[in-house]
Amino acid sequence: MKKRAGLLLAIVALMTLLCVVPIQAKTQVIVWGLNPLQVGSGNKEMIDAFNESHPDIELVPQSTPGTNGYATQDVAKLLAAIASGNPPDVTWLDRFTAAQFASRGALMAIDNYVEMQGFDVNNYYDYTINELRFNGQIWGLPWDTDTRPMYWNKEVFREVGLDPEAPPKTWDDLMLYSEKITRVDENGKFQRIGYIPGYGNTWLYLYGYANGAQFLSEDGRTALLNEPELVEALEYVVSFYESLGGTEKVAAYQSTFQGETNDPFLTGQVGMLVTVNNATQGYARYNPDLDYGSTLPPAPAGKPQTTWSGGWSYAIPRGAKHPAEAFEVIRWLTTEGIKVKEAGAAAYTLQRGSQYHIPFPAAYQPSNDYLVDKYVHAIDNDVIKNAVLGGLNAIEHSKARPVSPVGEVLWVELARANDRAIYGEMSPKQALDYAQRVVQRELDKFWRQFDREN
Amino acid sequence: MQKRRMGKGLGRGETIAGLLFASPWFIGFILFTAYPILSSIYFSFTDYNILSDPYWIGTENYIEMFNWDPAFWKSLWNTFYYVLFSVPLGISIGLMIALILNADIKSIAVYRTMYYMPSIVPIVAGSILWAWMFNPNYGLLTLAVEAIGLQAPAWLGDPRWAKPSLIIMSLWGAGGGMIIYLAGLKNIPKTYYEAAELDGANLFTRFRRITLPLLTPTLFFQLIMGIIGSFQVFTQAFIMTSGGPNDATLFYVLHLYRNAFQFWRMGYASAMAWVLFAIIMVFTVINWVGSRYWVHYDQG
Amino acid sequence: MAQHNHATSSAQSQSGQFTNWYNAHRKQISHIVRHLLLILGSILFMFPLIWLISTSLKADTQIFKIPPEIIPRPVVWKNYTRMWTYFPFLQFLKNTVFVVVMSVSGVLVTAPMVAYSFSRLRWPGRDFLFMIVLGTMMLPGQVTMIPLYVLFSKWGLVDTFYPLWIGTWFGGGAFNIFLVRQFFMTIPRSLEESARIDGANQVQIYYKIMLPLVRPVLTTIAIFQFMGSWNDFMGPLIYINNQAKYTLSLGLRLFQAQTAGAQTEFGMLMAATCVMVLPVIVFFFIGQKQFIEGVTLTGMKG
Repeated sequence: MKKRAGLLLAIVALMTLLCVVPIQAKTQVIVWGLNPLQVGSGNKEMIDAFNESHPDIELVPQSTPGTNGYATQDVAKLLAAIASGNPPDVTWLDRFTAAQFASRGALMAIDNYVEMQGFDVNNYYDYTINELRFNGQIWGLPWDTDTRPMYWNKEVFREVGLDPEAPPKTWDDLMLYSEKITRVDENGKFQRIGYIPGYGNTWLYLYGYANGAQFLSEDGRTALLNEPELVEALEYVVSFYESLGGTEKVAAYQSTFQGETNDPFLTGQVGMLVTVNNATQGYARYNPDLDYGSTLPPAPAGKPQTTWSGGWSYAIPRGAKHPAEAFEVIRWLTTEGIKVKEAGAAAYTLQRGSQYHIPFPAAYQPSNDYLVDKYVHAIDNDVIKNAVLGGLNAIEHSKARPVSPVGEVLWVELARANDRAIYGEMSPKQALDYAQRVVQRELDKFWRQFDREN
Repeated sequence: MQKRRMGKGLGRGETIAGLLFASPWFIGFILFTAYPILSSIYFSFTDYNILSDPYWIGTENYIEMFNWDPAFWKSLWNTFYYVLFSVPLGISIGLMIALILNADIKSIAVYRTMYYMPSIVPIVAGSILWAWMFNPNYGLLTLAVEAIGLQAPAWLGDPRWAKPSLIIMSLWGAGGGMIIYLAGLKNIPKTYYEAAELDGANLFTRFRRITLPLLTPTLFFQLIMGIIGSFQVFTQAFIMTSGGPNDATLFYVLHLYRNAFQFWRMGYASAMAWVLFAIIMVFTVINWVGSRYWVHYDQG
Repeated sequence: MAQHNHATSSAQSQSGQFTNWYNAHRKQISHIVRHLLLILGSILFMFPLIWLISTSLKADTQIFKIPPEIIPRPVVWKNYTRMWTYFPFLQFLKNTVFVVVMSVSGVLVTAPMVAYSFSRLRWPGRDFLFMIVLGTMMLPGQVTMIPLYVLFSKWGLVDTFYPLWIGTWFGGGAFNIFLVRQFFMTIPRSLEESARIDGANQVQIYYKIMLPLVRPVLTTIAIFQFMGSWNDFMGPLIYINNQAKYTLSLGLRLFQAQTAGAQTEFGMLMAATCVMVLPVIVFFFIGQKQFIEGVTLTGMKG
C-alpha cells in the first residue's frame, strides 16, 4: 500500500512539474549577428539586461563570423536559412542591403506591430528609417548611424600658414590646401599629404552626392551612373590623384600608414581626411592633446556641403517562428538596448586606459540625445568635444545610399569603376559607362521578375 | 566443364560482390553529387535567387558571362596567372627540397616535419599569419626586403603585387609536395645511380637522365592535382584581400561566390561553376594527352 | 690521378692535394653542404610559425616595435589567459574533434571497400564508373554547394554536424578512393586466389587478407582527412549557426572579426591561431612515419 502511495505521489509530483515547466518556459528569440563575446562591445551587458527585463522572452544570440567588411558570409548563411524555412527570429542587417532582402520576400514587414503598439518610427533619423522602406512598407528598425565629417589638423594648418579655424569648403580649396600641406623629401617620397580622396571612408558616394549626383531614378528602375554629375565627381577624384603624382605613388605612401598611436592623422602624415565619426574614439585615446576640428566635407563651389551615412539595422526574416516577440526584441534593442550597450563599452574603454568614451550615434533620436548628453557633454576637453559634436552635426546634412533591390551590385560596381579610373585603366566616363551597363542590366532583370510576380 | 561452371558462378558472385562493395559510393554519388549536379545544370539556365522559384532564361547566363561581365574576364585572367606561377614554382621548390633531403640523413624526420608543417597549417590560420607577414610596417617580409636595402612593395595593397604576394604565400606550402617526391625518389633503385656513377656521370647528368625521367609519373600526378586545386583558389583572397585592390585578386571562385551570395545570382553562379569545370576538364585532358610525350612509366 | 699531380708544379700539386682531400672527404662534405642547405631552408619555412608563437607571447608594445624582436621580452602569457574568455577553445575543440573523428572513421571504413571493388573485383561498367569517380575530383565544390544546402535543410540537418561528415561515409571522396585503389593495384593477384581456393568468401578475403595489407595507405588517407576536416571552413560556415557548435576554423575567423576594428588585439589573435595549429602539428608528428610509408608505397602515380 505504502509503496503504491509513494508511486502515486511521484506521478502527481511529476505531472505538476510537467505542468509548471511550460508555464515558466520563455519564448526563445534567436538573434543572428549579435556576439556577446565581441571584445569591449557591451553586447553581453545588453543581452543580459534584455533577459532580466523581459520575463517572457529569452534573447538567444548567435553570432556569425563576418560582421566586418562585406559580410557576405553572413548573407550566405542567412539567405540559405531563409530559403530553407529555418531562419532566426531576428537578424542583424547592413541597412543598405535591406531592400535587396525585402524585395525578394526574405523579410517580414513590421508595419502591423508598429501600428498595434502605436510605436512612433519617426523618432528614428529620417534617412535611417527610410533606408528600410521598400514598396510602401517598413522592413526593420535602424540601429545606429555612422556619418562622415571631414577632420583637419589645426597644428598642420598653422605650420603651413593656413587659417586653422577655416577648413576648405569647396573642392578647389581642398585641392589648393592639400597642395600647401603636402611635403616631399629630396628623393621625391611623400613626408606628408594634405588630402587623399580614397583615404578614410569616402567612396564615390561622397563625391557623387557633393556634386548632386542621383545614382538612381526616383522609381528605382533606372541607374544614373554615367550622368554628368557623377562623371565629374570621378574626374575630380582622378585629377586629385594625378596632382599627387598618381595612385600608385599615393598607395605606396599609404601602405606605410600605421594604426593606433601612429595613426597618420595623429602623426600629421595626413593633414585632412574624411572618415566615419568614431575615428574620434581612437584620436582621444591615443592623443588627447591633438588640436583638430571636424566639419562637413567640401563640395564644388556653389553646391551645398553634404555627406553620407550608413549603419545597421535589425530585421525579422520571413518564416521567423516568433515574430511578435521578435518585434519586441528589435524595438527594445534599438531604443533601450543601445544605451546599455554603450554603458558596457564605456566601462571597457575606461578600463583600457582611455580617458574618454565616445558613443556610436544611435539611429533612435531620443536614445542618441541621451548618449550625447551622458558621454559627449561630459568630455572636459573642448577640442575633442567639438570634434565629436561636429561629426554629430553632419547627421543633419547626411544622405543614405539609394534604396535598391540591387544595392550590393551598385556598391561593388561603383567601387570597381572608381578603382579602374584612379588606376588609369579607363577614363572616368568609360568606367562609369561599364558600371551603368552592369547595374542597369541587373535592375532590368529584377524588375522583370518583380512585375511578373506582382 | 566443372571449371568453367565454377568460373561463371564466380563471375556472377564477383559482380554482386563488386556492386555491394562499391555501393556506398553509388548511394553517395546519387545523393550528394548527381542530384546537386543536375539541379545546378538546371539552375544555370535560370534566373534564380534561392528565395523565389527559378525562372527559365535559356542560355542568357552564359551569354552574359562572355559578353556583359568584364569582371568575369579579369577573374579568369587572375586565376590563370595564379595557376601559371604557383603550380610550377610549387612543384620545383617541393622537388628541390626532396632532392636535398633524399640522403641517409639521421635527422630526416625532424627536417621532414619542419618542411611539411607549413602545408598543414589551417588556411584560415595561415591567412591571418600571412596578412601579418605582409603588413607594410611590421611585416617580416617588408622588413626583410628593407634589410637588404630595397624598397618593399605594398604587397597586398598594390595591384601589381597582390597576386605575387598570394603566390609567395602558396609557396610556403610547397613542402606538401616534397613528401610525395620523396616517396617517388625512394622508389628509384639505387643500382641505377651506382651504374651511372661508374660511367662517370656527374650530379646534373644523373638528375637529368635518371631522377627526372623516373619521377615523371609523380610529377604528372602533382601537376594534375595542383592545377585542379589552384583553379579553385578562394579562401586566401576571401579572407586577406576581398578581391582587391582594383580586382587584382578577384579569383574566379571568389567572383562566383560573390555572384551567388552577395548579388544573389545563383543561376549565374551555377553557370560560372560549369564553365570552370569545363576549363579544368580541358586542362586535365591536355595534360593527359601531353603526358604521353614526357611521362615515363617503368616496369608498369 | 694523384700520382700525376705529384710530379707536376707546386700550384697544381696544391690543387691536387685539394682534390685528394676532397675525394677522401667527399661524403662528409656533401653531408655538411646538405645540412647547411636544409637548415637554411628550414629556417625560411619555420620562420612564420616561430614568428606566430613569438608574437603570441609578446606584450602589445613589443608587437609593434621596429625593428622587430624575435624573443619576447618579457614573455607574456596574458594573451593566452585572456583569450579563453573570448575564444571558447575547448568547446570549439570538442566540436572539431567530433567532426574529425566521424569523418575519419567514415573514410577509413568505406574508402577501402569502394577502392577494393574498383581494383580487385571485376564487374561490368567498372572502369567507366571509375572514370566518373576521377571526374568528380575536377568538380568545383561550388557547383554542388547550393543544391546540397537545400537538400540538407529539407532533411532538417542544418545547424547539426551531419552535413560536415556524413558524406565521408559514402566512399570518403574521390581522392581517397583513388589513393587506396592505387595501393590495392600493387598487391599480387595470387594472394586472394589462394585464399579463394581455401574457401574464403569475398568478405573474408577483403577483411582478413586485403585490408591488413593496405594499412599504411589507411594512415595516409586518415591524415589527409584529418587535415581536411580540421581545416574545413566553408562547410561549418554555411551549415553551423549556433555558436556552441562552432568548429575551430570558424571560431578563429569569428575571433578575428571580434578583435578587429577599434580594439585590435593582435597578441590574442596570434595566441588563438597558435592553439589551432598546434594539434595538427602534433598529430602529424606522431603519424608521420606511417604516413610517409603510405605515400611511398602508392607512389602517387597517375
